[in-house]
Amino acid sequence: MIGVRRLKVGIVMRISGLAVWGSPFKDLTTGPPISTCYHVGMSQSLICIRGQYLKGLIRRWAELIEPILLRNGFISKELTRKIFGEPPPPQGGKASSIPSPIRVGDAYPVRDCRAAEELFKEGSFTYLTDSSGKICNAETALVTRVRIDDLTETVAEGSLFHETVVAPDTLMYFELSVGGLKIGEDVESARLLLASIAQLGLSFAGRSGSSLSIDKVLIEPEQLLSDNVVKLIAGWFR
Amino acid sequence: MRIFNVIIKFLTPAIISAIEAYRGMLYLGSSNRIPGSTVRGALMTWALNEGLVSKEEVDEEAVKPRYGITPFLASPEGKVLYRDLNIAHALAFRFKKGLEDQRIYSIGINELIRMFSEGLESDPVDALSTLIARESSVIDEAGDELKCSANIEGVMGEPICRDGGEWRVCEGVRSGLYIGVSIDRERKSVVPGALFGYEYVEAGSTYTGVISCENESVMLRILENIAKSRAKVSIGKCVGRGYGLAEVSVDEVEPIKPLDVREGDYLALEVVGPLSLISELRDSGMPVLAPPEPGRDIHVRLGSGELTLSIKAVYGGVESFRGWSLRRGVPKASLKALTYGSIIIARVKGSVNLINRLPYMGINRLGSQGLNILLPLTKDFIPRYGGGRP
Repeated sequence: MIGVRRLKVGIVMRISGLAVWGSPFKDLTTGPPISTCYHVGMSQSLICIRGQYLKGLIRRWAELIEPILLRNGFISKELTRKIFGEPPPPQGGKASSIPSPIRVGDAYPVRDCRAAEELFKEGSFTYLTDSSGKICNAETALVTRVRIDDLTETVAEGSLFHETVVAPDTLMYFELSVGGLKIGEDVESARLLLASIAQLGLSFAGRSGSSLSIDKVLIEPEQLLSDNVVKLIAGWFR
Repeated sequence: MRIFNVIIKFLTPAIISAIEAYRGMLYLGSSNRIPGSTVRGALMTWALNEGLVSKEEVDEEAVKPRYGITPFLASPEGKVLYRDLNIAHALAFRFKKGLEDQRIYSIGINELIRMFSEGLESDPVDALSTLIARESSVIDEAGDELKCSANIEGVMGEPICRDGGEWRVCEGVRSGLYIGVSIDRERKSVVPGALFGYEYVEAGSTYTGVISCENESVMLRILENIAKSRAKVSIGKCVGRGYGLAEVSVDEVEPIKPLDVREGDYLALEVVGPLSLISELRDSGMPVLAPPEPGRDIHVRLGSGELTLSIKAVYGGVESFRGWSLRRGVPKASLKALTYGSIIIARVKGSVNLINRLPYMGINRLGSQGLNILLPLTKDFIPRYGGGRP
């Protein structure tokens, strides 16, 4: 091996409140579908939170946290850009064609934290072919809602609609990995990523603004925990 | 030359983009096939990230490649390309209705080869017309026998699998459409008009292809490493967002039985990797690649040996191919080529033993990009309907 380091993090998130993800239908009476992905092992579609959503969420926090960590000498300059790649142009033009070193998978419902630990140890991204019951479908509910007219302060004409929501306390598990790091960059990346993940508890998730909390974070290789800063941040999740 | 059957199994949904439409707002995928160049890029990137190869070695191998790579076909697990997995050629068809198992038949490559070799026909269109006229009566009778309409449809380019002695189109992969938006970082909301869609294949989809390497090749080192323990490789678009993670496994295999061909013989060549040859040089010296036509020669050189294939007929289609070079960070030159499954009838001259390299290394160094890979055929591997002489 030519001096290459890699880093893998597994995250178990808990959804608080009623959460919605997905693309809206034109017909508001039927409500937007939840993002789903087909699970080969279970031969059905599973609720999921798309990796691009999670990547954007973590990236946003990394950009906010980066100056603080940089000022305290915990990371090098431009680390967020190095890990997440070049951002697309502000007017929404085409993104860079060079893939970023980070890879963020979709989040799927898990039975419990122990199941997530087993998935983490088995090797990354076997979710959609796992048939051992560690992955389970999330409970959902159909909620009927109305839109309030700000002027009349009553229900707006014809604005009754339904939403499929994910039940509160659903545990969602996803992994992210960063490859091709030089010696030393793995420790700094771990510091930045763990600090960003810690902020997810301050984030709103999905279209209805449900909040998240982090139940557990797993990190590999474990030698990274010998770094004091990484150990301190990892301790917040235990 | 060492030959490896490579199996790719997607662990997450994957986006293998083929067509960009609506000014970058919709990307349609090629769900039944992954171009060889895409897999090549993914394996090289993986090897670089793992520290197995250096950037200098990758650059050197790109300029002087010592390997060939076929396209990867959607197929059930356990199939080996050229043995029980292939691409349906231009003369293959199936009945539209009636046969539940959708067996594949051929109009008959052998008959075409015979017409040209015995001088019965010299015009490609006349030859094909004669063949179709002859087969029509047989196919019409099928309607009575199968109790269905005798309407047939061509299946050129589709992956086909052999079960027993019969060929069938491989079961397709499941696909879906992912709709995304672009976020304006200043306003923290959606950029107006920035709605786009990508077609993806579902997790669990399996693709099979062949990579062949000379002993000094960097690709050989990569494959030997994967053979020890399966690799997790990212393939296609949006890999940073979790798409395209695949488990790659390799098995070394023996080449297919060499053909018994003599100088002056006629044979058919099926296009496995799109075929494009230098047709002219621009004033700047840059070559222009184009699909070959009857009357042209294909030259294959290895050491002091040279094989010449004089093209007598071409059956199939032409497709445009574009791509992006991750290595150089620039678009690849677009080219037109004979598409997958096209058939060429050609006469052999020169070093006939080089024929057996064509399905693996291709006719020139473009074989390392999944182009110019040809499967030589002295007889059709797909049966004629009714079991007639193929």
